[in-house]
Amino acid sequence: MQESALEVRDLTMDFHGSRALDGLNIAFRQGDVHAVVGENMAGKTTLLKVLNGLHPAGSYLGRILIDGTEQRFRSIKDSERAGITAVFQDFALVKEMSVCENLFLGNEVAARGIIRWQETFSRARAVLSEVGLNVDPVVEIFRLGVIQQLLIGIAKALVKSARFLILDEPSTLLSTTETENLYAVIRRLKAKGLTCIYASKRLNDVFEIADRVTVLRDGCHVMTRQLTEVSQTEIREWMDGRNENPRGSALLAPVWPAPVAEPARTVELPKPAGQSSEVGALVDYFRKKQGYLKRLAIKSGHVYKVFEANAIDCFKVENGLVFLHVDGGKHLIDLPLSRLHEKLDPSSFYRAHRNAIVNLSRIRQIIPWGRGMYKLEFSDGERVTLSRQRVALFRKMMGLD
Amino acid sequence: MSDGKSQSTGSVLGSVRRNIRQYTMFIALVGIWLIFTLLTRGIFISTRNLSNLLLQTAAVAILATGIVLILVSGQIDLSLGYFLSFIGGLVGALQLRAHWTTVPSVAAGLAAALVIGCWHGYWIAYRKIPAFIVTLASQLVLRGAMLAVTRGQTQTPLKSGFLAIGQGFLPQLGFFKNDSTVLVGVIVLVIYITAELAGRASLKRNGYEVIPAGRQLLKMVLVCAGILAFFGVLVSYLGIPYAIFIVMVLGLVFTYISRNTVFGRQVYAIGGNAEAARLSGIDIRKRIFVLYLLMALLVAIAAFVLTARLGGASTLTGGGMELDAIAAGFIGGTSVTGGIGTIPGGLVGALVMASIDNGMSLMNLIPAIQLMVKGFILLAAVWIDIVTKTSRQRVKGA
Repeated sequence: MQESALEVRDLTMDFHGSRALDGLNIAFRQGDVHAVVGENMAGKTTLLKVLNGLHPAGSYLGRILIDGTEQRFRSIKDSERAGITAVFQDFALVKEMSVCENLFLGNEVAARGIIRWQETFSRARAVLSEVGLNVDPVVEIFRLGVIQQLLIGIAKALVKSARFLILDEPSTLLSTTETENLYAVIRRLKAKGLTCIYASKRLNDVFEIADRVTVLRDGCHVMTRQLTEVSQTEIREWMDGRNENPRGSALLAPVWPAPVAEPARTVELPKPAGQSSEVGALVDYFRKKQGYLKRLAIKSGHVYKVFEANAIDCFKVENGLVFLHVDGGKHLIDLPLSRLHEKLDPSSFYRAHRNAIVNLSRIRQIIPWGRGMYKLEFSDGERVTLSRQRVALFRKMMGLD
Repeated sequence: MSDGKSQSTGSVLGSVRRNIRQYTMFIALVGIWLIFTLLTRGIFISTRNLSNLLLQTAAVAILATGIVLILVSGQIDLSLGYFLSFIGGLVGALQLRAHWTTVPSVAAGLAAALVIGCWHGYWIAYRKIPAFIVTLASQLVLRGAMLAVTRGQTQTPLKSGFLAIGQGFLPQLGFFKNDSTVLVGVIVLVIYITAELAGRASLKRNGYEVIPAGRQLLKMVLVCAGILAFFGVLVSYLGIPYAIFIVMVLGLVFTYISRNTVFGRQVYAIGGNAEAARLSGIDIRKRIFVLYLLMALLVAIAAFVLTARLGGASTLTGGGMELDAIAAGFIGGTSVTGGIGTIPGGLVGALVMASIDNGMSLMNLIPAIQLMVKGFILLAAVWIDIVTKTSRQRVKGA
């Protein structure tokens, strides 16, 4: 049994009149990737801020222990000295300054107050290669993409010789490929003995890289387990605090039809000469427009699903909405056709867009969520939030009403 | 390779936009000088007038040096005008009524300024009262203090040693006319050329691409021509005035501080993203406190220069100078939202403002027109800042 390297005991904190953390007892082991999961307002970020020193000692009750010794962090500097560094959601970077200046911000490579630039550059290059980032240290941050900025945020933590790296929902803004990149970096850091504490709402992340998982709900510690001992469903249930069937509304019947293979239909798109199949026409149309189309990537919630173009076996355009039948499941792309080509451009992956893809045959349950909104949960644990109107529209388009 | 990284999609436009910001100031300056030369039939460009112009710029230039850093950090200082006037009045009163000599009175002026700087720094940095309010309040207090200390009268005459600060010139070395000025000019040229070549070598050593030799040469020739012209003007008149020498030294020192010291870079970080600075463990309060101390020091020096140049401390001196200094900062490229700005830019901005004043006076235009023109130029400068910034915001949006 490993000695716990970092521990919180009886951690209780009130914040703006409500109890943000309620008697938490969690042990983090050296070298683990430890995921902290919970819905919004579960207390994940508050816990991380306590560990990081952002909420200083005195603003909470309870203790933080490193290697069994109690720690009192009065500021971020104290927690850094103890080996804890955090990367929060805005990455804490000054966009107009260069990569190397940001890496050493607050820890400048200097003698008697005068910065030593040569040494700054060489140390910057060294730490950038540790996170696998090939950027020029003098480039300004605003020129870099999101994943690069996040990796620089992580590199900044390494500069401070961290023993514990805290990441607060890093994959929120990332695409699938970028998230894979992040996982690779975390695995590399873990191999060096770093303990990574990773807060997330996304269970896919957790099951990819974590060793242990802690579930928080409404500020309380629900459970901590080795990942091998739990399933996604169990974790989801612990997060929601519910095991019963969801409540539906008159609008949404709890019974969903089995997937039906739709026959191919005609499409009003210009056909290049010699093309026979409609799918081929669509693919060719976009290939001509964009010069390429090998794959179709559709954003669904926070995940990008990538389909090979030749796996699209039919599609239908109706009322300006495009339906694709791919891979045995029906997918609705809720977009006007004129904008479809924009969304198919890989460079547009980095732009957030509102439209959700709903594979209606894979819905497992529908959970009412706030006013007029529903969370649709799919069989793989993924969730999409949609308004009542939109769900009604989809049902209509799919011929279910 | 590495240079290719900097030339990513958005950056070609970005670098043009960034350079527009820097070149705009120089273009504006040259444009204004041309316009006034034409309108005054060449009087503007005479060495005597240019030398006077530089002297007139001195006090605002010193203030601009400090205000650029304060604006970069996201703060402001509205007390500069009457702060300066108070220090000038204090020094004048000490010399005139208490019969203190130059050195003790100057020391007292510095001490008083530092106390006021501590006051500003304490309320702004540690008590978190908005700088706008603290320095506005200060403005009123110091105005009253100035009237009290001078009893409403111009403090004149002042000690000759003191007057030299504002009216004297660098002493001759004895070899030929204005030899000391020539020496300083040569030193500046040598420093510039060495710095450029060393920078180029360092870039090459680190594997970066350098601009083609032809363009580098052209750039250096143009800058050297500018330096020679500057010193040529001074040499052909009476040499470098102490006031200008002080401006040059302060400009160099503060430019170095802003680029190469931990303090300077942290100030830029605080202005660029205060939250990031805080999360990086920077003690923002300490930095801001020291900033206001430095500003106070510069105000004192500007007070000495201006009071000495005018030959006396008048109750009318200084009022409104903070607006000139702040305008100089913005014209020189300081961003309204903080995090961006250079001291050389502020100095050029000060020169632009002073040129307008000087030119319009030569043309005998009424002060009303002068003020209106300055106001519009300030608006234009800030508009350019916003426009060039928007494109950068677009590039960085992720």
